[in-house]
Amino acid sequence: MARRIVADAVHGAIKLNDGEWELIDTPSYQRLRQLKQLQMAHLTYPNATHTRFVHSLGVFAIMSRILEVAQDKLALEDRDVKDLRLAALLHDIGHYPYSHLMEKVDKVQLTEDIVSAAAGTPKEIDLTGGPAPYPKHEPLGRLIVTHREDVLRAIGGSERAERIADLFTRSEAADPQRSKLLHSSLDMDRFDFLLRDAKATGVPYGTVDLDYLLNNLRVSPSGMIGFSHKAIAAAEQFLFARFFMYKVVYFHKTTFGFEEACRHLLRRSRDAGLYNVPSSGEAIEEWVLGESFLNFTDAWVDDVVRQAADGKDDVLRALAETILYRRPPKLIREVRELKDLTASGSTGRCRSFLDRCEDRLEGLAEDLGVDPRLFLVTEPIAVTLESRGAKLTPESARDLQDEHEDELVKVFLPGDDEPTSLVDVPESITNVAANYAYQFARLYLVSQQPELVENARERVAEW
Amino acid sequence: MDRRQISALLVLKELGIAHGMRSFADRLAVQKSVYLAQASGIHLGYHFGWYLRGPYSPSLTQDVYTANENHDVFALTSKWKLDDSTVDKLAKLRPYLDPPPDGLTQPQWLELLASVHFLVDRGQVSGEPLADVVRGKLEKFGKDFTPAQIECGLDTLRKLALLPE
Repeated sequence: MARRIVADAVHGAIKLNDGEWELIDTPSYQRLRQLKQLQMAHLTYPNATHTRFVHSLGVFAIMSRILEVAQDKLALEDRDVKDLRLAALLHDIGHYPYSHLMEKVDKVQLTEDIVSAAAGTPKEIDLTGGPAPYPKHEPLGRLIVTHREDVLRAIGGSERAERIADLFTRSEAADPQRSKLLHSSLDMDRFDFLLRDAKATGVPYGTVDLDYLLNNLRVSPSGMIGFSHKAIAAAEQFLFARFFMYKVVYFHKTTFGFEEACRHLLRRSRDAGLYNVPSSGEAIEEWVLGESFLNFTDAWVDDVVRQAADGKDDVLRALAETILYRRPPKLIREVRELKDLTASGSTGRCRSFLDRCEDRLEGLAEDLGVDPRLFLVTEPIAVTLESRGAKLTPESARDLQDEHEDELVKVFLPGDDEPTSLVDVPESITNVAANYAYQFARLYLVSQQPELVENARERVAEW
Repeated sequence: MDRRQISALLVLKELGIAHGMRSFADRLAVQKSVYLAQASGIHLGYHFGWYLRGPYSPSLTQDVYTANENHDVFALTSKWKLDDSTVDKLAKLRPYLDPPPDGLTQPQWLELLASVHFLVDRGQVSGEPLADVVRGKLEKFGKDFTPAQIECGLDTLRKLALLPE
């Protein structure tokens, strides 16, 4: 089988067979070149312009290496291997313009909803009659893979397309072994994006000793995948790399401010029926299946921003101008805390700050002569080392065995046939660190008036 | 103040499902009841994949934990409420979330309902009789529901119009 080679800055030579090359050459797949991996991070880190396309190839490269090690041990047939390689290539094909930014438009809480909620009359939420939320990128990916002609042809028909879509959407209930690789503690998605994003942004935090980890891969008799105990330090370092990349890069205050402004812009435009922002989940699906799907790219959002900047709505114009002319929303206050995940019942600082925002934001806006909709309040975000901590009660720890436990990083301790979650290894630093979450809440103001911003900061410092 | 987090808590409250998530059984009940609510037409927007205990959404777990950490649920209901049409829809679903008197706990019953619905809805089972095919599939995942329990689950899903008659 002829091999095609792509030269990649992170993984070196990535080899694809003819069928895989045909797939990535389809217009539907090439769309991924028009989606930035890091959303609006390029406004903070100018070199962060790499795309979902190159990231998908990177995940494919890691999957290929893992399959070389794990195929026999997991008793995977050749068909499974080929399907898993394609699933790795296709796992992000359903991504929205600016990735998760547009996908999360429904989570946006508008400032006027926040302040009126504090006013006494309960605000109504309609979860039936209103438009369906935008679907997540995984089910959109399924639609693309199973319905778009170019992809179907390249994959080899609808039966195989369904099988592959089942793998990356985790609908695959036929054989848990097959989907385990894509959703296991190996986290090949994060391996690639940590390395790639660190390289692109120029920060040192994303370094992962990928070669050492992959060279120490083991599979247990029950099919659980993990690392040899020799690689514990490398595994710990991977978790910390992930933690610091989230803290420093993905949630960078300036980048996050731009993305929040864009989310608000898209949400408000959608609610007002402006700029052809799809009105519902169904409208998104129609677009994805339709002829103009190839326009479902970052450039489409850029065009919405340009139109809003020329529009009549003052708030939309202000939000658009922050992005168009790189005038970041001003951080008025950030509240940070380290929460002990094993303690309960205490009111956190982030929560207290949000309560103050609810109660006082409207008054502040009035005093400052500012439209309250230009304040952007972010819900507390928690950054953790792993998806669960170690210091749970024994009962809770046992209970959690049957959920997404297989997605935690696992290591084979000496003499053990089955791996242990790294956070449960007593001598691992993660055993302690995983029990804490770094949490923050932020208040931004979309304004270019320095005095107004300083005034707001002084007032909010007292909250 | 994340709209989806608040909505999830209000839906759980309306369904009478504890939101605290202190035990695995609590988490299971939260996951499966939200799955069934979405299947019934409640637009929360969570994507569920198949895990060892059936349909599961990591985002939902994250949201409910975060919402619990940052919201006083009782205070929430003085600021937000579900509209009448949403409340009506949940009221129709709620009685079916109580297990029939055959020994299953509520979390087990919810696991059965949600798992069966997922398998049928996502085309992971085919053939007749459906109950036997579903049972065979669930056995592969170590679930030992009896044929009578599975029939009861299928029947309930049909009554809820979540499966074709």
